[in-house]
Amino acid sequence: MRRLLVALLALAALAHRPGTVSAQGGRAHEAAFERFKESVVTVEVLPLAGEARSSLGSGWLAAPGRIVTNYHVVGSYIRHPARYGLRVKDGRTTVPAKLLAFDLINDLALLEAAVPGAPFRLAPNSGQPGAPIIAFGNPEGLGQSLIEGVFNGYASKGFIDRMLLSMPLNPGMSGGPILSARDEVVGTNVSISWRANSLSFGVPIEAVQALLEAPTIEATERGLFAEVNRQLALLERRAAERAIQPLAEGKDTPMTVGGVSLPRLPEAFECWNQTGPEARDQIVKTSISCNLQFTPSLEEVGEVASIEVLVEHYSSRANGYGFYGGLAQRGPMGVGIEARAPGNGVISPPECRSDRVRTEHAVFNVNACSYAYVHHPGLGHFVLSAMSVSRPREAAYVVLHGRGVSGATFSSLSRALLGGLRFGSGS
Amino acid sequence: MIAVRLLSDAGVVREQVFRELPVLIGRGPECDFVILDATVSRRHARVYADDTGTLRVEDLGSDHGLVTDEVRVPGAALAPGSLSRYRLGAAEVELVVPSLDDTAEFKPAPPMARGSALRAAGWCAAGLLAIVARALCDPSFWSPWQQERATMLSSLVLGAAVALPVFAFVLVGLLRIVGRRVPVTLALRAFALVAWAGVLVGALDALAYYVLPKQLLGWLQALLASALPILFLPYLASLGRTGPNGRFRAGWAAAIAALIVASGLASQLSARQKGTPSVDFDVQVPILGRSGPAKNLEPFLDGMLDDFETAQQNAEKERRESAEAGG
Repeated sequence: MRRLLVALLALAALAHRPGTVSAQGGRAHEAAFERFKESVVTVEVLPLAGEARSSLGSGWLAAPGRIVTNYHVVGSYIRHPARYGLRVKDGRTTVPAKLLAFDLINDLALLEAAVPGAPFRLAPNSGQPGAPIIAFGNPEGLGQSLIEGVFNGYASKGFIDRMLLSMPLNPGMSGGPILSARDEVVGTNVSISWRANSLSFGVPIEAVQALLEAPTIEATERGLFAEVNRQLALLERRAAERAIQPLAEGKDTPMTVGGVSLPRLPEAFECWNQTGPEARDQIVKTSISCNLQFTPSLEEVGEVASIEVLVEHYSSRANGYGFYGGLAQRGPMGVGIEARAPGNGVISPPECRSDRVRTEHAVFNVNACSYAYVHHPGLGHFVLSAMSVSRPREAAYVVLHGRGVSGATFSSLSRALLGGLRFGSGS
Repeated sequence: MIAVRLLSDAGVVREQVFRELPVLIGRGPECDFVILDATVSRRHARVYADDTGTLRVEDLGSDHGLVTDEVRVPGAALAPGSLSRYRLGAAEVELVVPSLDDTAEFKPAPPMARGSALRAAGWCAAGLLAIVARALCDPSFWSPWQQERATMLSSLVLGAAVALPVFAFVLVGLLRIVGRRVPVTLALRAFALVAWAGVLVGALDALAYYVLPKQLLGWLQALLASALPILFLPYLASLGRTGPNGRFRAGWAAAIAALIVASGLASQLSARQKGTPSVDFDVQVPILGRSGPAKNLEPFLDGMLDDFETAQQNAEKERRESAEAGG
C-alpha cells in the first residue's frame, strides 16, 4: 500500500514539473500565437477537373504578399499546372495564389497571394545548436498549431543541409515557419523521421534568401519542366560530387562486410548492419544496407538523386554445390527489378543485360537494368545486382539502385563498389 | 490367300480373310467384300492371281478409281508378305498378303507373360530412377536453406511411381485409338528413355555453364530445352507403327518445333508489351576456381550505358508522342 502511494506521488510530481515550465512558456506562446496567426497560412492545391487529388500544407509570409512553403506541398501543381489551382487561406479569407519560384533541392517554393498578414523577420542564420524554437503549421488542415522544440544543429547524413529538430511535427505542417526565441524565422518545416517519435527536419533559412531573389518562372507546363530539369541536373551533380566521387577516389579505409571489404561509403549515406546465422547455422549472413538521406521526391518518378546500396556476405559450412543452388534461388529475392510497360508516360521499359563479369579480385554474375525517365532527359532508374561466383564456400551479393541519377553517376558507383570488392580481408 | 481390311481413321473396323480368288470389292451385293459407301462403285476393284500366280489388284473402271499414295493407279501387283493401302472413293482399304511361310491364322495377342511383366516393372523403375536422379542433380535440392529434403524426395518418388504407369497406359490407349497395338512395356521403355534424356540434358546444361559465355549459354539452354520435345514426342507418337517412320517423325518434329517457336515468339511479344525485364540469376559453384568465361567490368558497364541510351531513345519517342497527342 505504501509502495503504491510513493509511485503515485512520483507520478504526480512528474506530471507537475513540466506543467509549471509550460505554464511560463505557455504565456509566451499565447502571445506568439496571437501575433503570428495571420502570418502563417494554409496552402491548398486543388484539382480543377478530373481525377486528381487535392493536397494541403502550410506556408509563411516572408515579404508582403510573398509566401514560402515546401516544394512537395505544391509538387502536383508544378507537374500539371493546367490541372490544379493554388489557394492560400489565412484564417479569415481564401485567395488565389501564384507560383513565383521553387527550389527542388532544398524543398522550397515561393508563392504570391494577396493576404494582409505582416511578414516575419528573417534570421541571418539558423542559430546555435540547443536553441529553443517553436514551429507553426496547420496539421491535417484542422487548425493553426504551435509546437515547441529544440534546434540541434544540422543532420550529419545526406548531401542536402537539414536542420535537426527535437519536436513532433505533423503532416500538414510542411512549409510552416520555425521561429527562434527572438521571433525570427530560422527555418521551414519539411519532414519527420519515420523511425523516431519526435525527430523532425527543417530547411535552413539561408535557402529562403536565395529563393526570394530568384527570377520569376513561367508557370506553364513547359516552363516548369524546364526549371525542374535544370535544378535536377544541379542536384544530380551535387549527389555525384558528395556521394560518388569520394567513393571512386577510395581514400577512406575500406569497410568490411563479413568476409569482404569494399570502399567505404561517404558520410552522406545512412547505413544499417545486420549479421546472423541462417539455415540451421549452416550459413552466416552479414549485410549492410545504405541509402542517401534527404533525397527530394518528384510527383511521378518518386525519389531523385537517390542511391541505395545493399551488400551481403554469405559464408557457408554446407557443400558448395548446394550452397550455390540456394544462392541461385535467393538472387532474385527483393532485387526490385520491375516490369514497366511501354507508354506509361513516366518511365521507359527496362533495358537489361546479364553477364559474368570479372574484376581484379572476383567474378560476378551481374544483372543490370536501366530505365529512362520520359520527362527528365539524362536521368533514369538503374538497378544492378551482382552475385560473386568465384569462391566455393562464400559469396558476396551486391545490389545497387540509383533513382533519378545519370548513367555516368551510376556506372561510377558500380565501378567503385564492384571493382573494389575483395574477399578475405575481413576479421 | 488375302486379308482385306476396311480402315477408318487408320484403325481397322472390319477384316475378312479370303482363301479363294478372285475377290470382288465394291458397293454391290454381289461383291465378296461389300463397302456401303456412296463414293464406292458397285464393282470397284478386284484381287486375282495372274497367269504367273502373282496376286494383283485392279480397278474395274470405277468412278473414283484406285488411289495409293495420292496417285490413281489402274492396278498393281501384291507381293507376298506385303501390306498395301488403297483408297476406294472415301473408303480406305488395306490389302494384306501373308508371306509364303506364314500361316493364315491371325493370332490374338498372347496374355502378358511373366517375363514381360518383369520387363515392364524394370523399365518403370528405370524411369523412376531417372526422375530421382534429375532431382538429386539439381543444386537447389542440396541448398542449405532447403529444409524438407526427405519430404520432397518421397513425394516425388510416390508421384512418379503413380504417374509413370498411368501415362504409359494413356499412351497405349491413345495408340489403340489410331489402330496400333503397343504393349505397355514399350510405352514404359519410351518414358524411361525420355526421362534419362532429360537427365542428360540437365548435365549438359550444367557443364556448358563452365565452358560457354553467358549469351551462348542462354541460346544453348533454350535449344536443349526444346530439343527434348522435338526429339521425343515424334518418337512416342510413332510407337508401334509399321513401315518406314522417317517422314512421319519428321512431320511431328516440324509441327512441335513450329509450336515451340510460336509460343516463344508469343512470350517474347507479351514480355515486350508488359516491359518485363530479362534477368538471369543462375549461378553454379566454381570448380577448381573456374566459374566460366567472364567479361571485364569496363565493357560491361559500357554496355549498361548503351542500354540506357536505348532506354532514353524509347523515352524520347514517348515524350514526342505524348507532346503530339497533347497538341
